[in-house]
Amino acid sequence: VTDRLEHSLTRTLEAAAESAPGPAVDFLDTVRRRQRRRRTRRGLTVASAVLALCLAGTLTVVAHLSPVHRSGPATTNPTASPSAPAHGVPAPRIAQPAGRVWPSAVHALPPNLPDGSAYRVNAVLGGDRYLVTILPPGTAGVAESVAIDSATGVDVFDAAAHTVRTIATVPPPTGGAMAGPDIPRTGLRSWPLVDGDVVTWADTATTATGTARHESYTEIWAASVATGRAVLLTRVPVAQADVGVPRPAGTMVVWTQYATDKQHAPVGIYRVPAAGGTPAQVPGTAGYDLVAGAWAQPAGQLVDGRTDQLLNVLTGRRMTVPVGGDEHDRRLECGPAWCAGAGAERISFAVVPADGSPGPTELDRPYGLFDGGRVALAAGSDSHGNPQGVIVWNPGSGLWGELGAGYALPDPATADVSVLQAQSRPGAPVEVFDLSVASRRT
Amino acid sequence: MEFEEFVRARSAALLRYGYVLAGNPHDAADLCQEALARLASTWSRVRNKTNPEGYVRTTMARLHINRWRRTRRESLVGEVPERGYADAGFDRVDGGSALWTALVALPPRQRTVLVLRYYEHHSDEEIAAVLGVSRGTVRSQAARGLDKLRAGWAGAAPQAAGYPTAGPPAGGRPAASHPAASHPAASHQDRTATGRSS
Repeated sequence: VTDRLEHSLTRTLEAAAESAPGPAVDFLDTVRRRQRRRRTRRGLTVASAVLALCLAGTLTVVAHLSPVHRSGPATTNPTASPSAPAHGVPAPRIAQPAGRVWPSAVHALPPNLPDGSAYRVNAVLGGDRYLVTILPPGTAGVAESVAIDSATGVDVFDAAAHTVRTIATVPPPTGGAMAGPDIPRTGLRSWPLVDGDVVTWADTATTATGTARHESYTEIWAASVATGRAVLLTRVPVAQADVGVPRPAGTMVVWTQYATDKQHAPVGIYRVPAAGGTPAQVPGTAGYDLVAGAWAQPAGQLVDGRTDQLLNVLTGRRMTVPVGGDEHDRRLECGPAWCAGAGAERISFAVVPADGSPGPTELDRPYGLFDGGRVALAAGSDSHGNPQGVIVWNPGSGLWGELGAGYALPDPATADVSVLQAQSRPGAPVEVFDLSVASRRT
Repeated sequence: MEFEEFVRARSAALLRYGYVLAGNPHDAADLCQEALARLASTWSRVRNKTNPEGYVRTTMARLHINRWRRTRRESLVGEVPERGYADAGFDRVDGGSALWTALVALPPRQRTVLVLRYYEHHSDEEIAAVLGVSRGTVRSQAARGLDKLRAGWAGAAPQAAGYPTAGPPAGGRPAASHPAASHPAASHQDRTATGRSS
């Protein structure tokens, strides 16, 4: 089936491409108009930047140059115009290693665990301890690029003591290891996320209900990092709902459930104590999607207003956040601190404070928010403009730095991810970058 | 070659690429023109150092993905009203209109990965480089996209070696009784690759 599908997919794409309309008569003119518009906006940006620097120079003592680049924090300049983003904007063409900006964020770990297992780091726990997922024997190279379903366990690695403590094996014993010759074993569905003492993750389990019939479930698990006791929080039939990434929030675990039809609309946000209990849908959350921790944003289709209501599904707190308007063509995605999205005409990008005060809108590339929405990441680029590495930016402190070619952006569906990692070659030490260090205010 | 000459020579091909990426001619033109405008600003440097068409195609894919990043929640409900995508092009796709409809119904990032793999014939490593994500993300996105396409495929596809004349319901869910059709890990690629990152 797969081969036929893949072959047909190739044919279908080629045939569809052949049926695509050709260029309009004014195609080249339109391209030139867009280019002129970009040039004009960039010119205005540079002029604004120069003006801002001159004004700053007459009023303040210019800080001496330091090895750490610090762009001015957007939130400390309430009078800054959105069109004058001289401060708070990374300048990726100036190489600025993130390891020099946040030296304590960098951890060098051995290529394998003490028992020889390959692993992937999911969180820095402190005290030289790391929440890791165990990968199959023989897994080599950059752990970041390993397929999620290949993980076989959730463990705590104490790098100082050279010990590993198992929290859970994946897939759990309740699942079938191999449901049939053409059916893969079940496995991890979301990388574990940690908040304080709570770690949570999702897997897919397959239960044989007969010789020829199997049922698939998405399971959500949680455990105490300290005690390591894993608890099955809920089990949702795959046919019933699509389960989003479970996120720890204090002593609770929250997740979004989506309809299984093609619209895939969020049908509600659920919460359950991490220690176990009965999952309950948070009232009034149909149509909301979790964005960072317990914060959710309406999953609207179009930007038809300037504000939106961010909702904390645990406390019920609501805050008004910008979602669009004159300066933003597209909806902004918000966390409790920052919003990120596109600037006007989609030729620039924006990161603005969630309280609606002005922020940088002339970013040269799109940034996504991670580590609970506190730090912004974007794909880096080499001298030819090709994607390479990751730019780490704390828009609050103005600090930014670049991670090298071994690093890649995390999946945007897991915005609570708190670490990045890279390995220069198989057998080399694993380098871990702790985003929670970069997201600190100072 | 001058920029104008390049545009005249390659715009049709780039629009075809944009069409399979975006799923409709309007967004295809938007993607293509935006990428070309960016190329125009750096034409001399790109022409001398890299392949301009590769630059444009990479830019188009990244623009498309980044658009998804900013609007992923919008797209969950935003695609259906625009299913007027089923324009003239689909009907002319030999036996593949149902598959194309299902492909268009995929989330944009999954569709982009499948387009780069099955239309551009990139390896997963190349796709990861183009999109600036990890290879694991590419594989999981491809697996999920194929899962959704495959959901109705097994039942709808002819048993013989021919190609389908009827595809699955667009975006239909995998059958719950068949975990291979529902789990992200269920792709041929993932099974054979054993999750390694060689």
